[in-house]
Amino acid sequence: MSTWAQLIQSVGLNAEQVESVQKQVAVVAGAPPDPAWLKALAAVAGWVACLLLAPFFSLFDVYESQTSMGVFGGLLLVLGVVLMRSGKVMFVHHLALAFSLLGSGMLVAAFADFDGDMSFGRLVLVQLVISVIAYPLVPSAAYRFLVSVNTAFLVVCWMVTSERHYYWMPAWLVVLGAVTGLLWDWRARPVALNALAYACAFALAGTVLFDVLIDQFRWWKVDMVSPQWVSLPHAAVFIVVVASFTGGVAAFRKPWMWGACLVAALMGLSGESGMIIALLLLVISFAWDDRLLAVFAYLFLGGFLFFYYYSLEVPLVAKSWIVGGTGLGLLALRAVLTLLALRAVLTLLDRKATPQP
Amino acid sequence: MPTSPLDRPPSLGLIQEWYQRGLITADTHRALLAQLRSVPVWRQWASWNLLGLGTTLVLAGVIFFFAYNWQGMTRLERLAVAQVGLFGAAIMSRIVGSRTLPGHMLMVAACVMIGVVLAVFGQAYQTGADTYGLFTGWAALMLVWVVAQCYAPLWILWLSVLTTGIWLYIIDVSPWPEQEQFWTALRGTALLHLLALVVRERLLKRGADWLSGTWLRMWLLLAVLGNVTVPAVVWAYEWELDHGKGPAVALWALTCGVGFYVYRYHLHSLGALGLILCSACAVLLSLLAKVFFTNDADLGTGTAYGLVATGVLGAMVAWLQALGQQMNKEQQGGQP
Repeated sequence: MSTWAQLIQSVGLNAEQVESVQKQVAVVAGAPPDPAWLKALAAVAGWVACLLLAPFFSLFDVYESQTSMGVFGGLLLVLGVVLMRSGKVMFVHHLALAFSLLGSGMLVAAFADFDGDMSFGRLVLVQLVISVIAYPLVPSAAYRFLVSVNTAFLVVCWMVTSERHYYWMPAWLVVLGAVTGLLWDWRARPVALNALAYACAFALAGTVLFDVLIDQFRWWKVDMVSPQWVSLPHAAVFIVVVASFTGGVAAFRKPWMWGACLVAALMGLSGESGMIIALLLLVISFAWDDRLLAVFAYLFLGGFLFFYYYSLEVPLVAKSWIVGGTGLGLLALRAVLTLLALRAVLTLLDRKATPQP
Repeated sequence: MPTSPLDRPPSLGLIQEWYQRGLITADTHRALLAQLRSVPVWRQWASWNLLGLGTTLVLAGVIFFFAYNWQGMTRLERLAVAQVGLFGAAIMSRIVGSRTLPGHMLMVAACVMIGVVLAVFGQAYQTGADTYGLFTGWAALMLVWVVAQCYAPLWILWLSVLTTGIWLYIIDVSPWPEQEQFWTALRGTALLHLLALVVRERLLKRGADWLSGTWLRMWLLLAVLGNVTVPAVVWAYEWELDHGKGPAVALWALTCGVGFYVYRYHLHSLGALGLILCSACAVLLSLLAKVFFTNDADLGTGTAYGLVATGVLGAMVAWLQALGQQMNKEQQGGQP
């Protein structure tokens, strides 16, 4: 379908449906372009602005006590929300984003250390509570994305503070994978959750990379390596998402789906989540026509292969079999797909050639 | 040039957004989605991606394997296996059709295998040669195939290999003083990619469709700006053009100035303008830091700088949105 007009004509919509689509197409044509990378740029700009604005509050000795930090943080967050909801001007929106981020940070710092006995666990808990409260209140995708990623980042930080906490890492990776799959599989997902979906995908990829990298820090915590079974639930999420996008339960009646299941299972058994996650993100990006996610998936795969090469946990020759074997599995799956497509074409031609009784 | 919005290509992303916002019904959404993501569309996407990813992973596996330097194989066996891979991939590319996607992928594999063969040769016969020789030799040996293949990702691979060679030459053996090496390497990389970008835009205008991917423009422009923005940012803060930073800064100014004009008025690329403005913004912030913090660096100055920087960043995003809107209108048939 090369144009909207052709698409509308080919799907056989009723008059009301055609009208609603035509109306939206006209609205979009008149609206300013707002590509995802521009939103990402606004998020980064907001983050930088927040860091640059932070020293300002030292003028009022705000950082001297937890009470003042909490009060100012709360005020800043409220100011940010009000400005964001009222201001149409880009600068105001941008400033509000910086205020909201800074306010959240100050609130977290104040509550996590209110009795002078700060622990990382409490910091994560406070961050989580404030994120849950602020997420629906602040109408900015950039803010929502950044607080969600920040929360995930602090959870990982909490886990690496001790080997006892690191036992939670496999569970965290599984939960993150499942939530990412669930959020992206949900077509009717409210717009407000878009930022969370991106944040989960970003955090999942980042955590997998971190998990590959951690054994580099042998001087620090030697035993902090997740068990290899973690890749199996990720493979399961991949299969469920692929099936869901290509026809639901009915997809399992197709032979290619079984090929995909077999390749995913082998990837799961290999004990490395990186390649499955990259494939999962690529499938999602195509299903949602999301180029930003696709670029991220390719970059993540490149980064994973780079760091995996230097990972000390698996011998290089074993890694070469795992990576090369996965590649061969994908090529074999492509061959199956091509053969099935050829067979379908030949069957169709046969039917056309056979005279009808 | 399309005049009606309905003559534009449909976007699944927009349909998805309308559905999420409740602007179209679930039935309409399902019908449109079934058309845009039908089984043949999925099959074609899967075919391309499985081939691309599969080839990439197999090649990565081969590189890992030869890097392991397995002692179970003699050096002759290692060389023989690598060369069979190299020539096998090249011959298979001709057999399946060098202009088809599998043919392209096989040629990429053959070009990567040239590097593997050279590396295995280096492992087997330690000649004490400089490392840059491996990469420049690799780039030189694959050049004929790269030119003949007319495949953009292969050009990117060639540029990456050559860039690595240039960096290794400058850092390891070049006659330049140590302080100049880093800036010279940045300048060289930027110049190489700028040349590639100019060639890409000229050839595309003459009908070289294989260069039409927008990603290629963004990749090359990012490589140019990434390499010249660093010296420009340092220059803006230090206000000194020592250690060979001068030409790099001049190249930065030229790229930003000419690039803005070309991508705003001729080639209409909002993404390219975004990259250029980000680079300019980084240099401007560095310059402002110099102005603000030259005499005193107290908290008041820091605050003022923070507010100004917030304004600059906000203005950049707002300007990009306005530019996008303007270019959108122009492309709909309004003012050029």
